[in-house]
Amino acid sequence: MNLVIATTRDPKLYTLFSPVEIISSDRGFEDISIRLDEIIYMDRQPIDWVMYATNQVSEWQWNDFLSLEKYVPRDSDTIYTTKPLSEGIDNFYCRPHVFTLLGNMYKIQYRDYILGCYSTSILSETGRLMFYAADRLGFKITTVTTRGL
Amino acid sequence: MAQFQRIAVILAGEYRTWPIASRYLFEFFQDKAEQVDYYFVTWNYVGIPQDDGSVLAVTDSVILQPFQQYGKTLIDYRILEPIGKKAATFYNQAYLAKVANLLKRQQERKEGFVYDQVVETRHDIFLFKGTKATWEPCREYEIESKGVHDRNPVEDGFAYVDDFYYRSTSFTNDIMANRYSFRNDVEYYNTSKLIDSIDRFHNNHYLLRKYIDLKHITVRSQGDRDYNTMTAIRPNFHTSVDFNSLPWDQLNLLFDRYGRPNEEKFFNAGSPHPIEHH
Repeated sequence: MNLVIATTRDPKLYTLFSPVEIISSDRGFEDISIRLDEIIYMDRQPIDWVMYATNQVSEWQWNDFLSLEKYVPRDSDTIYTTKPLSEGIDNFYCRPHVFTLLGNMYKIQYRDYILGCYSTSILSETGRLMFYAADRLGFKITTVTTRGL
Repeated sequence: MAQFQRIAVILAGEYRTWPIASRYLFEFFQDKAEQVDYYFVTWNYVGIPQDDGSVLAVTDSVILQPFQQYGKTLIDYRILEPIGKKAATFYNQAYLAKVANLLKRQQERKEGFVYDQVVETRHDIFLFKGTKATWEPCREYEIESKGVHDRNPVEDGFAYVDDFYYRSTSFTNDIMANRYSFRNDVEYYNTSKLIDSIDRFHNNHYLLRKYIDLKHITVRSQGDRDYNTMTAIRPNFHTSVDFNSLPWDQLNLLFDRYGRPNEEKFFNAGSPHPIEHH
C-alpha cells in the first residue's frame, strides 16, 4: 500500500508503516492537499491512502484498518476515523481525492454561515467542515470498529 | 471597471490549433476581470498529425509565443508525458485539468487569495459571442456550461454534458478537477442496452454528467450568455478572415468537413484502440 501520512508528531512514530512521504500537518489541510496532489500528479507516484495522524497509531488500530481497506473501492468517498468525529479530530484515513477536497474547503462561499449551522460546543472548525463535506459532497464518515475497546 | 477582480482561465487539452485559437480566447476573456490569469497544460505531442502521419513535439515556444504577442498573463504551464490511457478522452482530459487545477491552487496559496471565478476550457476552442457581455457569477456547486442534454432519444436516453467549457467558483473547480479519481461503474452500463457500445462507456460527455450528478453539482445552461455556442478550431479553418464576422454555420461546416486519414484515431473519443504514435 502506498501511504502518505500527515502529522504534527515525530515522524519516527510512523516509520513502521513505510509511508511514501510524511508531511507535517502544521501546514494545514490546504497545503497538505497540494503536496499530496503534487506527489500523485506531478511526481506520478500512485497513492492509495492518506493517514491524518494526531496521535500515535497502535499496531492493533492499524491492523483493524488493514482488515477492511482491501474492500474499499479506489474512488470511495469514505473517511475512516478512529474515534467518532464528534469527539474531536483524531486519526483518520481516506482516499487522496477526499483529502484534496477537505483541503480546499477553506474557500467555500458563506463559510462562516455554514460553520454556524454545524456549531456545537464540542466540534472544532475542521470537524464542522468535515461534517458539512459529508452532507454536501456525499462523503461518508465511519468510525473503524476496534478490538481495543 | 471590470465585473470581477481576478479570474483564472484554465486551458487544458490536446495541443491542436493554439496559434489560431489564442487570439479569440484572449479577446473573449480580456474584459471579464481586472486581472485574467491563464494556466496552460497539454501533452508533449501535437494532437493533429502531419499528412504523412508523423507527430510533432510540443515545445515551450509554441505555447508561450501567443502570450508574449498579446501581452497576457500566463501564471504557469506544463507539457506532460502521456499517461497511457490514450483511448479514453475522459481520463486524458481529466488528468490535464487536474494538473492545471493544482497550478491554480498553488498560486492561490502562494498569494493568499481565491479566484472570483474559474473557467476550464481547451486551447482549440472558438466561442461565438452571445447576447450578453457580462457574466452572472456562478454560485458554489454550480457550473455554467453550454450543453446539458437530458433524455435525448437520439443519444439512447443517456444524459450528458458538453466538456468544452465550463465556468464555476474556485472551489467548484476543485471538485470538477477531482474527476480523474472517478471510476466508472461497469454494472451501470451492463444494465442498459448500451452494453454493446464501447463508445458510451468511454464517452467523456456521459462520464462527466455522471460525475456531476454524483457530486450534486447543478448545471446552468439556459438563458442569456456571453457566448451562444462554440466550435473546436481545426486546421482547415481560414485564418485570413475574422471568425467573429462569420456566421456560425460556416465554421460549423468547416468543422464537419474536416477529415484526414489519421484523424480518427486522434479525435474519436470512443476508440477502443490505443493511439500508436509512441
